[in-house]
Amino acid sequence: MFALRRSLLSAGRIARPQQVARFSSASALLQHKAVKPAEKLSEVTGPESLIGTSAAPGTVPTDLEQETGLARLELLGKMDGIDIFDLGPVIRPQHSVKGTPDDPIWVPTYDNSRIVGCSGTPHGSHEVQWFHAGVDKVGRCDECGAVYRAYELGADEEAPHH
Amino acid sequence: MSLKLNIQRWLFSTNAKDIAVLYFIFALFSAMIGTGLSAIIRLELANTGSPFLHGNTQAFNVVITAHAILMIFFFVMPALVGGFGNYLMPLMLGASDMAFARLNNISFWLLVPSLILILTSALVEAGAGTGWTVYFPLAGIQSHSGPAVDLAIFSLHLSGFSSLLGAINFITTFINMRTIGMKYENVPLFAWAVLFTAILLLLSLPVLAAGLTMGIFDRNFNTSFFEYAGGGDAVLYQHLFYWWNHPEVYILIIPGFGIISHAVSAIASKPVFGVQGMIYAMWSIGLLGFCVWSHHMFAVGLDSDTRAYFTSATMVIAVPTSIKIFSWLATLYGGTIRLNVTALFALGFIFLFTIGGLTGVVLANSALDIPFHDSYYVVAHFHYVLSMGAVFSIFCGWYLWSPKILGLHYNERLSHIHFWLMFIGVNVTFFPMHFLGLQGMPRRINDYPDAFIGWNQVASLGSIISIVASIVFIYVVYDQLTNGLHQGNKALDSQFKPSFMGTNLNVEGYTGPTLEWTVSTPPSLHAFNTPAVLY
Repeated sequence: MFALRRSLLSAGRIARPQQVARFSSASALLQHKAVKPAEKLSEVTGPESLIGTSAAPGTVPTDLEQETGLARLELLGKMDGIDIFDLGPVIRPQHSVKGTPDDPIWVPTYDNSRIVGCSGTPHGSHEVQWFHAGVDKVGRCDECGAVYRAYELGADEEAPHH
Repeated sequence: MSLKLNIQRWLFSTNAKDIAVLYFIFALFSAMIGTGLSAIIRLELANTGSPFLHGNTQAFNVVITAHAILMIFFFVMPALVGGFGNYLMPLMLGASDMAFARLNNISFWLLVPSLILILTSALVEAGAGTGWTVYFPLAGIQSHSGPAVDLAIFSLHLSGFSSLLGAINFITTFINMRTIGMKYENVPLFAWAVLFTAILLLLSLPVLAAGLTMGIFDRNFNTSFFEYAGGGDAVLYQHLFYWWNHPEVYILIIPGFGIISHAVSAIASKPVFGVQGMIYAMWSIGLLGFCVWSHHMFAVGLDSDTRAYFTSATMVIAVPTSIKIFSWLATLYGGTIRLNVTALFALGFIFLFTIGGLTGVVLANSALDIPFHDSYYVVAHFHYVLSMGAVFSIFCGWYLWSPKILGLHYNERLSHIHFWLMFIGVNVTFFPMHFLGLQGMPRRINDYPDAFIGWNQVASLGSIISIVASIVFIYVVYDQLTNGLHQGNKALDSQFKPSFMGTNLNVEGYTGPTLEWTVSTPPSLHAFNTPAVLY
């Protein structure tokens, strides 16, 4: 899932301002590049495809017509039922299973550790405890003993489990 | 760092942590001026016959006005909401910053001209001798003809605008910026406290602004909103003022509640007892705060049914407040209590705020309030809840979090001296005021019959002790900033080690029930590279 998100995010990087500045409007840019604006998530090919179609003259544009860049990516995702930025509550993998030293709960990170809050197993069964879960050293909840371990989100790396 | 970079960092800052530090500096500066003004008040009242101001009653009134406005608007609110709120709320939510970072900058920098205006108002012509309530017709053009009152009102406008922008920012941050997986039920109590404070600010301040604007119009543009001769009503001003003012007293104390909750949990090494009860208690205090404003106005001639309602509604607030007090006691009960200076200030808060609350229940009775109105009993009451409530919570928060914020440790022994001097000083100052009030001594009067000399002298002695305590605190901060690295890890350790969070398995930093303890010390300006996640 993270790989999908990563590739979508990189595709969604907004068109460079200096490029845009040379054209009088987004539609002029599109004509120049001859890239069809994506109207569905599956049609996204790169940053150029994430530009709104703009509204017909004299009408108020809808969100779909004017959103551009990451905001458009998010909108297209929502239309396909995909939460691009993972804004919902975290659903722990194996929700009812407590992490152990041998089988920790894996936590994605862009660093070598990540701050993790544990609210127990099942979720919400004790006061939240916050601590660091590292790539090399596990983090352990003082309340329930659950073990968490981080893994780095590298270029083509996938989660070790789940 | 070059001057240009310094200007960029501090003048144009959009970082909540830097802005919080600016708020702390600003609050400390205002507190020193406000304390100086209180010294003038107590010197004047140390004996009969106006020994200090030589009978200049207007000057006395100007001093009490400036003292109150400085302490409320430029010390307590900036320190609690601007300082602790800006620094800790985003950290506790796992947010990288406040929702509207540039708005945050404007919020702070509006306060500076506001402070200049209020200080100017005290210095031009005869000054604003209206009391901080700015009652009309005393604040009208016939009683205060110069520009002083206009300046004071503009000052309140500006600081109100600053608070409004801050409130919008805090509410948005709370709703939108919580880290991944953090539901409302997981948000720490201090962040909740700041949210409720912000809501109260947002709903009450516009009414004050309206009242003050009407006053400005009365003074300068011949309207007569509050002028009887033109068909106006001075009591209307009081209604508008107190619609804001009663929520305002909760604005001053609710962030303090949040700080005390965290402090009590830390010193007892236990999670707070009844977190949800605490949240609902704050919410209900905030809501009820909008329903009781006329208990400040029992003496204007309200009918008995109205007084009965406001008496009852006011007393109901004792229920959620008691929930908070008993929850703190239940948190302490059975805990392994470490009697460090944070604990002393937290316990001092609970004890003395309860006394202030009890006199508040007395004053809530309209039958009792009519004789007590405008007497020193009222002064004693609100100083117990503010000087020993809000201010103690600021000190408590400072001793709890400043080692984390600065990465520098204070001298524990000096901080204990600070506490005991402060504790003795404020009690010696304000406890005798109950007696003076019960004997009928009115407030806002610079001279009194000889019969009141005794307790007034005691109170003035107490104020000197408090001022010495404040100087000790300034030295503690100076010592912390200059020698803080050499005082070991003591201050932070005394909060969290050994504790119920004792594992050594973790990679770095402290573990804790709230996020701010887990980030680096001092927290980096962008504290969360990979956002924290709650499972």
